[in-house]
Amino acid sequence: MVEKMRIVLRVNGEPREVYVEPGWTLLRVLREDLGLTGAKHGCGNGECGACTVIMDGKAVPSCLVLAASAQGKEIETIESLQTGGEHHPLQRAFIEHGAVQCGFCTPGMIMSAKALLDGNPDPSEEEVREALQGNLCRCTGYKKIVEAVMSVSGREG
Amino acid sequence: MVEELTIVGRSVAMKGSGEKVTGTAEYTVDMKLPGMLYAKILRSPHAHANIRGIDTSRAEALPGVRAVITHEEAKILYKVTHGSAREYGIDDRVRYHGDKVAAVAAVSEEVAEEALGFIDVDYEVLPAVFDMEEAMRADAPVVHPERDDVDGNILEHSVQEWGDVEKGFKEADHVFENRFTTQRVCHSALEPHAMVASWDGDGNLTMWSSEQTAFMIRDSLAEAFQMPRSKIRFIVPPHVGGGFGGKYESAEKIVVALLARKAGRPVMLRLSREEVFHTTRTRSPCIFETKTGVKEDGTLVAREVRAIVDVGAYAWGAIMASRAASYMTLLYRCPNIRYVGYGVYTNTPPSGAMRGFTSTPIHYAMESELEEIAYAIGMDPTEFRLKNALNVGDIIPINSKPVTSSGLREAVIKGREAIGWERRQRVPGSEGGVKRRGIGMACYSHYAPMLKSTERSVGNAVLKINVDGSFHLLLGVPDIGQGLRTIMAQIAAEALGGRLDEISVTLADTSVTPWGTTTAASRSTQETGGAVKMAAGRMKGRLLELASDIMGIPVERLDAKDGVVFAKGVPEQGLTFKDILNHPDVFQSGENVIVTKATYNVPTFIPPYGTAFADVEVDTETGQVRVLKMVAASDVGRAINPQSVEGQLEGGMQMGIGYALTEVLRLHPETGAPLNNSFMDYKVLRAGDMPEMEVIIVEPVDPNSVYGTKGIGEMSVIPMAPAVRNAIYNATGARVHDLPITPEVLLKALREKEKC
Repeated sequence: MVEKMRIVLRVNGEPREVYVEPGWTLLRVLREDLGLTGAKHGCGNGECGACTVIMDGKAVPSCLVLAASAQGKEIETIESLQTGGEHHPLQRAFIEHGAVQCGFCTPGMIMSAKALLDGNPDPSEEEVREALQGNLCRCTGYKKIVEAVMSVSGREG
Repeated sequence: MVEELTIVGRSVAMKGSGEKVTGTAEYTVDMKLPGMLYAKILRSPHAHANIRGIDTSRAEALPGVRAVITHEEAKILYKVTHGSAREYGIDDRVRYHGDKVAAVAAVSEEVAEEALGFIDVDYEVLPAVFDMEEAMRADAPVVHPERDDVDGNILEHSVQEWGDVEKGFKEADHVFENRFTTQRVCHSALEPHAMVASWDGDGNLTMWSSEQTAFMIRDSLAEAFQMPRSKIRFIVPPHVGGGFGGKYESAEKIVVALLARKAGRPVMLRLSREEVFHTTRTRSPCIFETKTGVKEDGTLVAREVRAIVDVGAYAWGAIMASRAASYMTLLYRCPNIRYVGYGVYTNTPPSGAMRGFTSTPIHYAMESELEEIAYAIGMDPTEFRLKNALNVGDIIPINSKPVTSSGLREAVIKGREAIGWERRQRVPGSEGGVKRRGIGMACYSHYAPMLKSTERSVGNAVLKINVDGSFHLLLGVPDIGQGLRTIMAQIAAEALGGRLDEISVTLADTSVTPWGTTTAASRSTQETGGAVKMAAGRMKGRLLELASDIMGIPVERLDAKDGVVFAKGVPEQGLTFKDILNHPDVFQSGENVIVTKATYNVPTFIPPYGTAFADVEVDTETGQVRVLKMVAASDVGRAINPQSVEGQLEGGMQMGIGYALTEVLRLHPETGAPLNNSFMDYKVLRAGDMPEMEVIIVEPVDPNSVYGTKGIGEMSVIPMAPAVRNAIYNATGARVHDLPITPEVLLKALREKEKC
């Protein structure tokens, strides 16, 4: 048995105590230990973006982040976006623009878009595509996703 | 009379998208059952070998391991969907690098993975064959020697003929011949395959799995385990993270069920991305030798294709070898056609269905050749195609039935306007320079849902009303992310005069829903939609009867809309469905419990017709191709949910451009080992790689289909690769024959052109 260590993560504004093995990733801890299954395991190599969360303001593939190294960092997951039963504007835009099909890439897409808009509320379409370059989608061709993000940035049409 | 529709034909948000954007949508991988174990599969390091011996004792002794199985327990035949496809749970012979050898269930994936390293296998390595043409030779290693119904490695051999091609070629003024090849690709759905099996103490099996069919798998499992179907419950969870043809044929379900039985605990298997690329079904690589004869005026007089389809080690893809013939008959008139197809086993990853199954590869070959013919005889490629296109009323040779609707002409006219067709080069490759622009196009048809009169296409639906006037719709087919649940609710709401948001849809649970086929072959809107419309019509009829008694108005003078029954012309004075069900006469008598069901036999297949146009820029020094704009103009019949149709067509472009330019699963030529089974090395197009996209929906309402719809799920991928290829031809004059068109392939074609 590998010995586990105690760490405290700040997830969606709350401190969460977990016991982890040294090799465990943030994605594993979020999904298996904290029950936050919105972040998806699509590849395990940081190549598909389905596991994207925001860490200290930056979108990161949580499958490449060791849980232990996330100690003390501020982590936001898709589960934090809806407040008081209301969808976040990005969530609403994804629904209304038809940017969701199978939905497996959606939480990661939205977190990448949120990290972009948090730092740059008025991005160009090129900047949106650049910010989503790490998030694969196999259903939509990205068009409606980009349109949804642009609509929130106030640059639609 | 034209039906007035208010819900069908309207863009509505997909049901379930609220769950998906909040991260609460549950996929198979998100499941957790009490005591659940995790499985891992030991995969063969050899492309072809007999397993002489296997010792699992060291693995079983590892702490945390709960069950290990090998061929000794799992050599159970698994037959899904197609008779000639046969695979065992685990065999004592491996037939490709990555084939199943043994499986472990343990308390964690880490322990299961570790245990695989403690399984000792004695392989007798056998000669392997990786090339489909080599596999056809008499002296080639035989992949399935146990099958006496297979001639060497040739699983399928199909000859189909209409008219007399020899005579046709004699009558032709010009004859063109080519050889095209297409590659092995992976569906690359974002959700990796996952499944859970659980046995109860009474010997009942429940399985949850991310699949495109529930009932066909349940039926196969029942046969495999010799169990009555009632003792197996197969559930496709409400959310499936993409299918595209890749999610229903894996024999892992046998393995996971056996592990769970042996361990006495639920077991989950989730494939790694590497396994998805290398061990799940792939689109078959193909070779097409084509020959086409035309008259001086562009009339097609003879067409011949010899196709070889590499069906890999396990071969659901084999039916492609015979079905590809259909596409020689669906789109253009030609009196003389011959198709010869071979489906050939090799020691490579298994083949299976993929979007535009049996259709996408042969369209690439045919439409590439036709584009070149048009330029060679001095015709506009769009006019050349329209001149030969089947028109409404023409008989389709493959099933001897007439075309009942076609939007091809409208699609071509609108598509060429959208792309700026007049900007193409009149003589391909005539403009100089390092960077060259070109425009190309391709047309397509597809069968949806089923082709031949001998095949049945049947949908079932059950509809129940609650006492408050809301509904449950039960259907046997899953939603794989494309929006089936929403489309079915729209059809139900329209046909019964109900409210869309008051219809909840339960799918693909063999103990709850009626039998259903598969969510595949662009069939569900027709097949299951037809049953939904009928069941909803019956529900409405019953509600009108009850309302008639209450209101004292004859049924024929009543109608329903938005959940209210009213006398025609007096919509403001109505009874809600809830009022009807709670009326004392109805409630006391138990008449308020209403369940309707319907079975819909699809009367004939209704092909969609469409086209794609591509505008590209080619760098003739580096061989790089940039697609600048892509237009998909498609005849979709009536669009039930236009936004959803657009989304599917746009998604098809992503897959189709990838097929044209970047996607290929490569194997080591000597060992058959995977060379690029990751998203790093297998290039799926990303947001920044996409061109400007324009979707044009053409809606010729077909009189024979449900609300005039046609299946479109597969459509937009089909014409993409030839349109891109033809745009490259237009830009450079280089005659590319092989997919994908990597810089290497293109530079070679450019050099060949210089030689001419």
